[in-house]
Amino acid sequence: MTRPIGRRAMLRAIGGGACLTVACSLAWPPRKASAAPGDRLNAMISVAGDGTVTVSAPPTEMGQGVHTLLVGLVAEELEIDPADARVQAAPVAPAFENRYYGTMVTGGSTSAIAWFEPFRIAGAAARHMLVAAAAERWGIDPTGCEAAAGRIRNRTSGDILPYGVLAAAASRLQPPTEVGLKPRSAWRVLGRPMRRHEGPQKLAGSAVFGIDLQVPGMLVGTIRHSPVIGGNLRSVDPGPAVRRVPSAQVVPLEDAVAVLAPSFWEASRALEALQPDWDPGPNAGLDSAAIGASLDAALGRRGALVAEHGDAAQADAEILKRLDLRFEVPLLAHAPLEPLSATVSIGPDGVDAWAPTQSQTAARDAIAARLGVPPAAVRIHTTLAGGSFGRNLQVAHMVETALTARAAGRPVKLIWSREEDLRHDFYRPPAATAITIGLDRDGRPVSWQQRLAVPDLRRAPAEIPADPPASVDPTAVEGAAPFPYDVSHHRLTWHDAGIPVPMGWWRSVGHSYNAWFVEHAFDIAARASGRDPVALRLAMLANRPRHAAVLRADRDLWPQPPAAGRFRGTALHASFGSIVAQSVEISMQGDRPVLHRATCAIDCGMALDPDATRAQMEGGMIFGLSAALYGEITVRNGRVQQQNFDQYRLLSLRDTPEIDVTIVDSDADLGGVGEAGVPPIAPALCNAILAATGRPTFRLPIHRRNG
Amino acid sequence: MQLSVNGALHEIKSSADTPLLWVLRDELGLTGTKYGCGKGICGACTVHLEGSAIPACTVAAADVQGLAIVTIEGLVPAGQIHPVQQAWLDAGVSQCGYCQPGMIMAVAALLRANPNPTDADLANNIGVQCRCGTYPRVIRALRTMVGR
Repeated sequence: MTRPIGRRAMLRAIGGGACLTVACSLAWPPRKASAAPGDRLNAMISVAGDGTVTVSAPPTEMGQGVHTLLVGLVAEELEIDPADARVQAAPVAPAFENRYYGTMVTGGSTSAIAWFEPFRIAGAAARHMLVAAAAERWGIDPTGCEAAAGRIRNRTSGDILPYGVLAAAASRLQPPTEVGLKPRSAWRVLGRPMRRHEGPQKLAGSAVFGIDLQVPGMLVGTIRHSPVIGGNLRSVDPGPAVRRVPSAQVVPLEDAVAVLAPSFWEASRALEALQPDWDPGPNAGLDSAAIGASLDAALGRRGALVAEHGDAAQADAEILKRLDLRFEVPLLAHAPLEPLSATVSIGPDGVDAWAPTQSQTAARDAIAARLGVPPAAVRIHTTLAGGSFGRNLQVAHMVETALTARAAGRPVKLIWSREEDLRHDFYRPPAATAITIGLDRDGRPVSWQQRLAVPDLRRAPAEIPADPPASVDPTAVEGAAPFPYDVSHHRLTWHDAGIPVPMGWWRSVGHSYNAWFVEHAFDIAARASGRDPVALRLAMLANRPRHAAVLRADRDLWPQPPAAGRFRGTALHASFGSIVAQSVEISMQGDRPVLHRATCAIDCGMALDPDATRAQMEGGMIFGLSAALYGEITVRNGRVQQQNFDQYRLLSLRDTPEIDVTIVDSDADLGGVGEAGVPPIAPALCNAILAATGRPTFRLPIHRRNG
Repeated sequence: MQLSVNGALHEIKSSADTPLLWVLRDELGLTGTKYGCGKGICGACTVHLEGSAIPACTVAAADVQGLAIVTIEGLVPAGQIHPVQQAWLDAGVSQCGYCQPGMIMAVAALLRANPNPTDADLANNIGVQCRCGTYPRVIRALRTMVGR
């Protein structure tokens, strides 16, 4: 991930009317805002005549608490109570592009990092202009004014003017060319636990998610795709659907059929009656064994060098013993609790699309291209997301909804069934690795040679992988390098694997398997040498003080040794700019681990909202535990076998351990927290099982269906 | 067909076999009750039927005629907040929030039946699935409510 290499803010105030709106564009090299003056589209903050402050949020709120954080950033500098601000989802506009990607997208745990400065700058600029407007009205110098709690106070006279009264006058002023931001020591909102902005609506059931959307005159639909992955629809007779539900409308699509009706239930019943004729395409014989064989084949190819450091010959001279280990992880589904949905209305003045999308720009462009309209004619309205974890980075379902709405000539809300959601995901790719660890006479790893087979997410799944690949897919290898431990020789190669299944970015992406590969292999090596895995890590982290501090902070959450029959495992992993150590204590009930307590230490630079950081660690660990214990998508005859939560199990409250999280404050750059909590828990758990039973885990999930 | 939802009788046009969930959502516009699995597994659609928590996705509308149905929208009168909701706010439970109406309905029903549940009671009775992993806070919020 890139880092900003310079900073320069451009501020714009948009005048006219009784509303002060402020936009800020922060980019390097400095980029002119492209919206014309007077265009409110780019407004990050608006202060209305009644004093209402509205924050336009570029990132999608999916549970990570980003709307709350944006309000906090604005409130800190604008000097308002966060509870008094409103949030609206930002439209697609240049000012709202995530600067790490150059597009409007919520991903890579970048939201807090990308928006930390722009929203504080916009808040400070708005406050500056309100102060200037008050000073002008009072005929005093701005230094005689003080902003607090949504009002300006005249320090001399004690007079008070609320922001709303000043908004119109402030909007006619030039925005400042430079603003100072509060030092961290003066923060009153940031760095403290915040109340979730949309929390009350969520608990009252009034929060609007994608599937809750209502548009006048809309039909509700549901969809079924070719049961064989990659297959297409040859034809479908609408008769059976219409006979069962007379109002049903059948819309054939390229690789799917949608059915529309006044309600989801009617649409579902009608869809069940259909007997589409599918062309299964090239994958009719695909199964999980073939996927495993593809990973093996990839490991046998040359591959591309990702990273190498140290001296192989020197390491060879030190090696007393070698360990050859092979690990493999399966396809995984995102399975957000809110099934996929989108709503599209096509009118004479353009196309409106509502969805809990993480990829607003891509959605707009894809819909525009398929409908043959200019991108500017497509308006994306982002709803709250009922989870997502990367699923809504994909936009194909929004295009399908648009095509269905066009065919129906009416607004359409398309909701996927859970079965469709699990069988037609863009899955977390499967991966395999072969690691050769050389141990010296003290049992310390001195050589780490790793071959990593993962499909390249940048190419179409059906394409044949090149050998060697022309370049390295950064998300495939993230987390396997840089190698944090001090060894004499480290070498990582990546081998593109041909897996003809739709795949995508799943919470923590490459880190989700690479942390497990490296950190479980580390414990296997440590135990093979009779070394304490945590002590050995610390001994090999002399050049990584932040890593070591996090590992110690996690260890300090366990002042007592484990009781009889209890066993612990620990893992450490850096991802998304944060460093996380996690431990879990288990006992074994036969072959099954019982989870008693888990801990987590995180260094994310500074925690802008410590409570949200803890929540993301807790949730990330549970997400990781579901995958480690149960997560597995299997394929047979080209069909995904898991159809619902009885076959794609999630961790339940009953199986959840106590979780303690500690935050290690550091002066490092801001790190992301939405994904960094996921990777270490799987190796921590497998390391605990290794401690308990002496048995390594070579394939996930721990409870495998297929032996 | 008539259904009693949140204290009011509603004339229902949906077919008798329609699951209560979709009558609530698509006919009555009560979208606080969520669809998660359609099979009674995940609990996102939990409502109260005569005071007990049930999944609304697997019960046909015809089978609950004459019985008192309460959804998240009717848990407390408008403008009020239920003690479970308050405890949830204080403990910062919700993340994406999608499962939370079902979670709150399940916990509210448990507390009505057993005002002083243990952790084990909670584990054995609250099967609502939370993909965000808010369980530790669900447990903490409930412990606070019952003074543990």
